[in-house]
Amino acid sequence: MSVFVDKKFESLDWISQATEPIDSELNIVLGKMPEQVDIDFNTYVSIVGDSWDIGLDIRRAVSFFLKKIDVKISDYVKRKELENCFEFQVDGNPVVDFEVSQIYGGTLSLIKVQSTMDEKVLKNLLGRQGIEEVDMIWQNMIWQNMNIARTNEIMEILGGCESHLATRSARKKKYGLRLRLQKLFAANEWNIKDTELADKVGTWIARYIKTGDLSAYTNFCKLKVMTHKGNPIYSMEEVE
Amino acid sequence: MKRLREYADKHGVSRPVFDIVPVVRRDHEGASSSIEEINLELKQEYKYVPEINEADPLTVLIAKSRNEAFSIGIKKFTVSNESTVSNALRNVNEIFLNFLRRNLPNKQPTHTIIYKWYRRDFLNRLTYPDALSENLDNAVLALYSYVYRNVDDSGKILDSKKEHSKNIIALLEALMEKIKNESKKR
Repeated sequence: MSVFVDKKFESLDWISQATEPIDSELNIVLGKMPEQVDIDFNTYVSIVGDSWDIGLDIRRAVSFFLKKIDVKISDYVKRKELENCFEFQVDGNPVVDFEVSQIYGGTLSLIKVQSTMDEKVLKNLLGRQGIEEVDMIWQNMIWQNMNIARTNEIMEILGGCESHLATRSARKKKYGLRLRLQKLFAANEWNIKDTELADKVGTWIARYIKTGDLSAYTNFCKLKVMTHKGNPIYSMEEVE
Repeated sequence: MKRLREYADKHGVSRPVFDIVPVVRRDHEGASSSIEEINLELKQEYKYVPEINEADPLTVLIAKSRNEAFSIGIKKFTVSNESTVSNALRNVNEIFLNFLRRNLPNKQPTHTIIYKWYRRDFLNRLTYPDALSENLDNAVLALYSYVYRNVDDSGKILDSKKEHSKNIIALLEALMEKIKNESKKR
């Protein structure tokens, strides 16, 4: 049926279809970042900005260049993994002279040491942000108001939550749901090969439990159906 | 504290020329290293070193009390003379308190009226907006110089100057009374 078609997987070349690499927007962002940037005096001052700390670290440098290419990564863990792909290179004995506004005596550069994200890193990122969203729904809700019925529906579809289905404690259900999702993504039981799609699982669950949003529930169920084929899942047509 | 400000005004600042110092991090096995951080260190030849005249304790006091800070906005080092004077007065207070703690003949010197006054009230009186008279300020600094020349680093009177101890205590008491009276008039 066309509603369960994975268009992204079908558009991959045969090598990618065979090797099934994990896809991520981080690889696209990494591709947009320059291979090497020589940091001159003006760039140095722009990166440091108004901070009292006039030293430089990878976090500030990468943040600066992400702003330049108009990309925002809100998740701290993803940003950290992106930063791990860069390091500084110092040649000679460079000196920063604020009187003449120059760097001389050597060069300072930011270089990209990895052109693509490591598969292991992407595997660890699968579903992580979505699980955090699931955790967040209980922070703003009083336990007594938590929708137990909707949580039970989700747990039944997920499977493997029998002991937490039986309990009437909202807190225990929350822990059970989180544990199940962590186990699911650690083993990648659903064979999801796109980090953004994996994160959406948690987003849909959180939205449905909190607000009863049927489109979120439909998307979640659709994805579950697609797992039955056993194929890697790269994309899915979502219901708005 | 006009005199302290005059001393502070004579000083310059460092020139903002820095060495780039990479911070090298090694991985757990030590097999590879990377540079993830850069520090800037002021080049020694551009660092401002205040001139000190050992015969004039106030030059030592001001040199010790200066804190220059680099502002990337204006690309210069700056020193706040007001902060220098405040720090200097704190150091003056400290030396008086150390002296009293180490040299008062009482069993519990920190429980005496004079010690408590110097701990609680001395700085407030000197840094009040309508500051005390210039003569009194000069008296404070003169007493500071006198104490500085006659004590060791811990505040204990030097062995060769033991006969001065009672004089210094008497002067500190007189100064305390004078400042109290002056403050009452205002």
